[in-house]
Amino acid sequence: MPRSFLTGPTALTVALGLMFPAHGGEIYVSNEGNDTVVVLDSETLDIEHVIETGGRPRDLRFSPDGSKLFIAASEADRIEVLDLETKTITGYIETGDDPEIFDIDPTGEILVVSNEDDAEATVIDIASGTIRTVIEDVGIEPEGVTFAPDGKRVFVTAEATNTIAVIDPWEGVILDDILVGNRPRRGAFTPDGREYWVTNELSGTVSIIDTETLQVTETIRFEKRGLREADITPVDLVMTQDGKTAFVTLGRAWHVARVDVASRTVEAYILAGSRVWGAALTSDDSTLIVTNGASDDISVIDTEANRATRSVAVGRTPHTVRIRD
Amino acid sequence: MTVAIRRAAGLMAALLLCSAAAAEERSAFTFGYLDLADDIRYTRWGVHPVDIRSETNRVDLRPMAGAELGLADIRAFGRRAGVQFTLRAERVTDADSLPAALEAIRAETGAFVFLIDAPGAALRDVAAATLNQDVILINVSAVDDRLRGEACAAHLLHTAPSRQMLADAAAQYLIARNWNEVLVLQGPLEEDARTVEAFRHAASTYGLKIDEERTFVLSNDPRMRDRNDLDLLTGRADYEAVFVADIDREFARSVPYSTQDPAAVIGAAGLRPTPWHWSYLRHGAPQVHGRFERQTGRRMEGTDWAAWVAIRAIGEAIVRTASTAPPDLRTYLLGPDFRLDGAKGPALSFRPWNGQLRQPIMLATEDWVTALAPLAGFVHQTNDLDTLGRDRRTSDCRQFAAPEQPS
Repeated sequence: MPRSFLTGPTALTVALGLMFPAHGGEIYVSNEGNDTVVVLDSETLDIEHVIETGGRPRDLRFSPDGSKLFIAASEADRIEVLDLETKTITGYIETGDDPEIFDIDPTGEILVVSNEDDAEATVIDIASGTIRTVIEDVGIEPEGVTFAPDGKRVFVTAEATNTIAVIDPWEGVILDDILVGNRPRRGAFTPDGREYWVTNELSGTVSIIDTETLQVTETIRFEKRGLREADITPVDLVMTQDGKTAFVTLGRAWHVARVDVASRTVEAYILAGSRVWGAALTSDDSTLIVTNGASDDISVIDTEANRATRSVAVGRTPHTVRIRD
Repeated sequence: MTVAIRRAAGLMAALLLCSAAAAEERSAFTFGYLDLADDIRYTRWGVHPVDIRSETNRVDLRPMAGAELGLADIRAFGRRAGVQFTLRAERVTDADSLPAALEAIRAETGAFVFLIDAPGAALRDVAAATLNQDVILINVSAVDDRLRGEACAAHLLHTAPSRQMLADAAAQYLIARNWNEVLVLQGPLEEDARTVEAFRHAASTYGLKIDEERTFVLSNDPRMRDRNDLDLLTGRADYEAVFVADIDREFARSVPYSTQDPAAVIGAAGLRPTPWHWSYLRHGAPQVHGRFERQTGRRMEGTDWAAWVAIRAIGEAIVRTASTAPPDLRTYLLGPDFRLDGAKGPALSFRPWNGQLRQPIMLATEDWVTALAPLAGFVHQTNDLDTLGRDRRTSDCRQFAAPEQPS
């Protein structure tokens, strides 16, 4: 093996020490194919813990008090509760069939989860771990679940119906549904709650919805020389704390798009891995981490330079990434 | 969208009354569905000899079940577009009765979209009988390339792949594996000859070498040993793969593991190109298959997929155009904005030059999808799905209006 190949990673590790803030933190990644959640040290990017979970772990969320991580184990039909200090699974919440994506209201009282096979969303009382309501008919193959910042409404995407169901989880009713592009996957609210942005995987676009009128006001398209239109398959979307920048993972196009929220323009396309989908930002927005579902690794992206600085193998089919820092 | 459907139970009673009234006002949209009582493709071909004699293991493989799943899946579209979808099916005794049955359903229900599950020749006759009428026919099972070529019709769309698409998928796979020399075994039927013709074309497109083409017969006659004995049929030839063209499939079943030289078997046995296989795990396919199996109680077949996706295509066109007028739907279906999720990965669309649905083809063993065509590396200047089947430039279809050139 040539000598220069060996020196490369060492040089990168040194650079990374500067990239992450000094307080250090943890990166949590769910591996659908291994039935594990791995915990990486955010400075060294070494895997510190491998936690065995129920079958097909997908979405992950921290509890609002920062003490627990909730893990959707799709094949086990439950959400598992991980104690962040001991790194052990301390409890389970039954969710109904095939939980995929979920979100927790800002007060930490309830959790809403999509049940992909049943066209349902389930509202769960977190403290008691019991199901409050099952909302039927939210659209076929529901996926993305996102609480509005005020916690009053939840937006749920339905992949096969091309709609967003607007749900009042406290009353357990569907308020409206909004037609968007094809195969809507996941969304995010602007921090002021006025807009909801959602990815359309098959249309290769992002729809922007006015949360007041519930109308699609704008559609963002992605194009880059050398990228085939059919490969541009947006999946996840995260926004910076100031709401000025959105990052959209483009799936089979191997890139992450950086979008200026105010002008709706794409500022950069950042090269990541194969089938890039899950995404999370550090709390200071300096680093974006994405999961690459088809290359079994994560890419660490410097959001100043708009460039991936390192990729780390994490396990088979990494699905979701969350950062605790 | 003009009709907003609000479903909140907690809203005011007046609003509830409104939406109840709106539900009643929904106009009916009927899909016609036609098939044949005596269709050799279901009664004989592909049916295992044990199953022919067995009452317990015979299952109805007709794609009507796929259409029914499609109908359930687009219910939400109907709510949004203000229409109530229904399916009106008619099984006729022979192909000659198809046009009259179509006319009767049309007169009775106003249906203008018809899914047709019939062999190529029958489909051709129905298309001729309905020429210049405001109907949209969707072929869900016939693979005949002539229907997409010289015998195409502007009101006939195809969600079933063509024979050429299936053959191209097989050829791409052999090239990708570097199994370049092929022995072709051809059955006695007209369909088998057509399949070999398509494979020959695929071989020349992708650069496979067909070492020999041999014909087989299903027989134990010792005087025909050169054509019924696999040792002889697969001896004295140079090949890395054997392509079997056998629509009946009874002979094809005996070919894998019985060749003189170690060789992959592809075509009617071994690795089979198909629009759908139940074992596919990606792109939301398990969800579709799960819904199908819960509804029907059997595995979902390729023709089920074609019928399912046909209904979904119309549902998608209605909800996006907010129209149920035949010309609006046809224009949208064939236009550049139409995209459909078929749970096979890329977005599907219709080829504007012959009405064929672009789609990936699965290459499946008995219980696994080994590959999805187009295979990596097979690229097309506009859409990689157009590496499967006749492309715009080589199409013989002249019945579609000159399509706009891709930008």
